[in-house]
Amino acid sequence: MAMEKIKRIIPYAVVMLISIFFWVLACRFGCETRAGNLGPDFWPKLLLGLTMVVCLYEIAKTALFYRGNALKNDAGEEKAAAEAPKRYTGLLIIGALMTVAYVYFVTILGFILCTFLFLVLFMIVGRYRKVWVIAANSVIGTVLFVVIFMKVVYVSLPLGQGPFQQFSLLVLKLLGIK
Amino acid sequence: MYDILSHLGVGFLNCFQPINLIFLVVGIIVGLLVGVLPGLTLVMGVVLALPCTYGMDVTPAIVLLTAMYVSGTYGGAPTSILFRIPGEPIHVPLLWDGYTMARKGQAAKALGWTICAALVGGLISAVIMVTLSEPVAKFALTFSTPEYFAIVLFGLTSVVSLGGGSLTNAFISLFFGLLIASVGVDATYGTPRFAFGSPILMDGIEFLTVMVGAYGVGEVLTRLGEGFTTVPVETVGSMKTKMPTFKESWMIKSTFLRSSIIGTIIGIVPGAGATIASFVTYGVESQYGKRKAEMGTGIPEGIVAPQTAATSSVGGALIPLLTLGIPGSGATAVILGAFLLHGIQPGPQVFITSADMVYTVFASLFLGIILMCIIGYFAIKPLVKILDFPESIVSTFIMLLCFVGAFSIRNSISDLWLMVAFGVVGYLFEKMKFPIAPMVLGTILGPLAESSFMTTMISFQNDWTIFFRRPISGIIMVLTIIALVLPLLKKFHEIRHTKQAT
Repeated sequence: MAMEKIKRIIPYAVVMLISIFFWVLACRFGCETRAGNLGPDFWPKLLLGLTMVVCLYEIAKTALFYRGNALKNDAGEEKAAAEAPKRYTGLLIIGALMTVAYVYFVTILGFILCTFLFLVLFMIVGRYRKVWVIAANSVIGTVLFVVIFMKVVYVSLPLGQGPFQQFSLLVLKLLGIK
Repeated sequence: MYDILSHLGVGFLNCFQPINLIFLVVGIIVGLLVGVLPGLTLVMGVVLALPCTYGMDVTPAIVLLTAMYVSGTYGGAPTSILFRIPGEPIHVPLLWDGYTMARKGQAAKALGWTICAALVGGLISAVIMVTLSEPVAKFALTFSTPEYFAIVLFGLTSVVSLGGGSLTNAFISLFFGLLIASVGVDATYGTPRFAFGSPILMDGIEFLTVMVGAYGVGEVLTRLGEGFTTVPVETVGSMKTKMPTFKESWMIKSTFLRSSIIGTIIGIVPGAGATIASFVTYGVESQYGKRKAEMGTGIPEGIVAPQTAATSSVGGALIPLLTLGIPGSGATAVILGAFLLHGIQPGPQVFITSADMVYTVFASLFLGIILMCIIGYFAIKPLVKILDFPESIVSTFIMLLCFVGAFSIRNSISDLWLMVAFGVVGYLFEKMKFPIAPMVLGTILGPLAESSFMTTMISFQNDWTIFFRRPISGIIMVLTIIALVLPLLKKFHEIRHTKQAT
């Protein structure tokens, strides 16, 4: 019961601490305003103050009045756990890391190569196993994105560095994009 | 009225220009596909289409996004009725009567009723939109900063109170969104706020980055955590559509009319969108309809009410967007983003400066609704086939669109990092049951809320009672308070009811 209460309180306590941190930052904005006028810190402080009040309310409500599901039968909990959809935490972590890796490597490898690799790997991480479909989708997808965004919409997507830049330029030349 | 009709006539002519017509058809088809795919929400679809509009003129860009928005409210209907798979939360009420009707062997008829409902609801709301927009815009020209602040505040509180779920979580999400909007150089004093010396943060955080991250990346990560498990699709013998006769439709004319009006009104209320409209009208039909006792047993009223309201909410949501520059829903927030990206600020002035463009958008809504119904009638089989497409492939391309979308806003890798961060925030919000919509609307409306509040305070010597003393802002502030208090009273009533029962 106590554990359940703490579990419920933790997110609000974290939000509260973050709000306090930003409140302290807001105190250091340092802008001289005319006497009686609201400064640039007023609006953020108002929002942070309201966030803290809401968090305090939720923490107090949970600490004082939360009865929890402890009194509900354990069988019900077991049933709910059995019915819960299967979780794929490993896949989620890999997917999140790949997302971060894409953003990191896109300036080094360039959009074309990085996108092709991302498409291949993300489909595999997403438990898709038809190799030819993955290959076809990745190649066609990359070419389509490059043509649409670099030739039609004129977005200046990253070309990469060093040899990767040469590779990107070669592909663009083959696609007829100057 | 003559002016409005002549402008609308010009709008129709503009709509038939090849470029506008092509993007109208593309928008309708893509919107239908978005509506069908369970992993892709309507708002996400519109967000992901936004980068494709960067190189376009403003009119085809808005026509494309509006067409996607309107057809997205219908796209998931066939899959809800045939396979019990609602592509969007909007179509959940269709499961109760639509799917039941299909199980009774009347799938073709049920599909016909949804098309009929989307057509009638969409056209009625489009007429209301055209009739109301210009007078509202003219009236809005008299608004000053207190009125604008009151309207924005009303919009933000509506999101919180109508969103359902935990009120405290919705408030935290909203304040977080407003705080994100305050990052960067302050518009009044020029002071950098929460920028940590980063040049990109000095320019502020683009709301599109927040939207793409929270709706796109966050949702894909959530689905990946569930292993991209798609519900297997049953085989259905016939996928034909049988339209109801005029006599059959006339018999439930009150359901059509009631749902269209409720849907349009809900669309106008900032924060409430097609989903709320479809649930509310189903509830109204269950309580006050002629055949309320038979609701849920597979009757046309149970299909017509939610579908009519869902489609009619689009016309309603476009009214505050175009006349006040305030988005009424997530999808209209993206359309607002498209306007801003093309250097146009929606609001009362837009009816004077860009009347042609506004009326072309209006006309495109009429044409779009008719086209959507025609395509929906003939293309039911290929549309439903989309469900067979593997979710992992669709999600991979969604991620890619998110990357390109976030990067293209300012051609900056820093925006990509911000997008990833908001993707994580979106995922955590989803896990901890914090609603995303208030955060996103807070980010969009934050600058307007702050600037109108600060300007009012400076102009009226920090007298906050001014918001209540001016007639229009006073009325809106009272409505805001009602919107805030009502859910609390409802909750209090529920607790009392539960206590009495036990």
